[in-house]
Amino acid sequence: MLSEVTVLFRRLCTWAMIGALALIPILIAVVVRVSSDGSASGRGPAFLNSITENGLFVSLTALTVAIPLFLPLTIGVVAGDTIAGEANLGTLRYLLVAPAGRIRLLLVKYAGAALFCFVATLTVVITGAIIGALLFPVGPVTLLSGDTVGVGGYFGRLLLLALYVTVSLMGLSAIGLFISTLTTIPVGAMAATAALAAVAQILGALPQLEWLHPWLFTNYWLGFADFLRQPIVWSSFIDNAVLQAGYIAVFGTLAYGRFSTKDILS
Amino acid sequence: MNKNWRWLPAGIVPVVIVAAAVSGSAVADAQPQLPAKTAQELLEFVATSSDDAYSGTVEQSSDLGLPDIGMATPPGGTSSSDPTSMALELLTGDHTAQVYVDGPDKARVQVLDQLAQRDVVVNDTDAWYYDSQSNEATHAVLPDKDAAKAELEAKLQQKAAEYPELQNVPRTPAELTQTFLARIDPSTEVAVDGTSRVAGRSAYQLLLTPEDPATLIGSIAVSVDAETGVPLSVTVQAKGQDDPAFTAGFSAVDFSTPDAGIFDFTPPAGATVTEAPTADEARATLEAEGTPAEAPEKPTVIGEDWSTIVELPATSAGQLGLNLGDGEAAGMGEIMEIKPGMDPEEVAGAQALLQQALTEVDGGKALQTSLVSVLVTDDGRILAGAVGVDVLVAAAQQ
Repeated sequence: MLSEVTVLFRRLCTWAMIGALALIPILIAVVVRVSSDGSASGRGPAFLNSITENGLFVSLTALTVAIPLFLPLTIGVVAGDTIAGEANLGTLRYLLVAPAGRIRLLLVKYAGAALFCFVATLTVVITGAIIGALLFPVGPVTLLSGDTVGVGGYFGRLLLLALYVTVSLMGLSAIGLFISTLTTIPVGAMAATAALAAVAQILGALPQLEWLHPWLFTNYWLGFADFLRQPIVWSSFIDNAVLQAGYIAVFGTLAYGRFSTKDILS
Repeated sequence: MNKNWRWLPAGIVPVVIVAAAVSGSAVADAQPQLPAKTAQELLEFVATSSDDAYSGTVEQSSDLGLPDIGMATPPGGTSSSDPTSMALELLTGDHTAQVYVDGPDKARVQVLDQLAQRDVVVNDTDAWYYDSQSNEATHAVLPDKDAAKAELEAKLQQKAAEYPELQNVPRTPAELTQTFLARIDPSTEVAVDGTSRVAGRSAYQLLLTPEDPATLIGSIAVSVDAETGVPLSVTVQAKGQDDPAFTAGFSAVDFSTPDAGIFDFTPPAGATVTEAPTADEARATLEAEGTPAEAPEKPTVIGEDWSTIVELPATSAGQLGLNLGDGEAAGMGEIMEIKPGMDPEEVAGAQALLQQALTEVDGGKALQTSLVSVLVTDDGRILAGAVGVDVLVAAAQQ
């Protein structure tokens, strides 16, 4: 497990993706700072207009921007690479020569991908808070309900928020893991995973398919705002956790079925 | 071949999930057994529930046969602060709200939008509305309850002196429900229609069915909590439509007193706060402006009970910024007047929607939803009612 994590976080590719994610809040903060003319237009991503008053909102704006595209993309890369990457390098059979067992390898790979989800989300949130604090005034934060919490309480909520987003991405990671067991070409698995995330979001935007929406793994992705209400609404977190657990169960067992019956040739 | 059993979990898990989902909804459908109650007893029960404290999640959805307003707003965005379009959006869209109630004087409703929220807070002395999207708050000072009550009582006494038959005004909830039932009886069938489960609680179903053939309303069903008498859900069925036209009900409810801090509201720093005029101030402004040269014509009411039609006089369409011009020649830009401060894009969107929803009828343009119809005649009158467009057209020609 530890070696898997060190391998994952020693790769240049991983750091490049985390760096790219960190760029989102920096870009938003700098652009708002440079072009700030005090005109609150009410357009653009949520929370954008609040940034000039309170730099801590940079985290939220960045998260809103990152969730639909950038986070799924990086998760797709990491999760799609799990098995297919080893197979492509020809190292998969050596991993299995050790008495580790295939189930354990799957679990370790999945845990690595999940950890990456958390680190990636935390990167966006923390970079956002830091760059916001550097460029804009910082103060007590206004929640969606109009109530105000202090900076300490806000960071507590940010941590919960990062947890929520991580849980949201677990289903996608499981799908990526399964796709990764199907092929020996990592790029194919990565692209398929990222594409699935896009497809699910498109389906989620069609009102005609409303019956399908509660079953889409992207359905609660933007529900993280429930942690910014006073009192906190927990129902979306629970619904989301149940949904993601379902996806993990389905695609985890599929990955197990595939990986444990597969002839490892490379 | 002997490895194939390893696919077994992958086959079992989806089956288990589907089974769990199906059995979950089957449990929710089971009908509880409750002691029988008459419609009058049930209504009295509801009337005693106004002092209760509770909180919960309310889900609302409607299917009025209108174009989806939500499609016209950007994703994650809510409607503008313009009250008309906001009311339309609240009525036509699907919403989830958190509701906190503590007796008749304290309430908080939080409409949970995606990445945004709208709050209405009412406590003993103040009322607040806050929109997180625009960061705008509106504050109103509530009239002093005791003074208002005394004033009302005095007025009632005065009226009672003028009209002796008013002496026996119903006062107790039981009397009130009796009067209510007697008044609606000829036009409406009121019945207790079995029981149901709402938000995990046993509830009586009160069913109001209009006996008027002209109205569009098929039936109104109210679920009343069997323990407390708090109405838990409302469903309005339209005639000729299988799906309910409007439903609002608790998906979760908790009958413990909500935390008192929930009913306190201080507008956040940086929010735009508008003070709504109190009743006295509004009266004073009106008096200061003097009586208008022409007293505005009052709306006329045609018909009665369920098929009541309200007719606004000829000038009203213009006052509302509606200008239909000469039928076909009217361009989109003329239907709604662009007022200063309105976002032109939003106005264009609203106009496109309006254009889409309006249909040409004999002598005007009509908006037909599954519950309500509105007719704007060519000479500027507006007729509205819970009846079909043909009834409105007939009424307009009289």
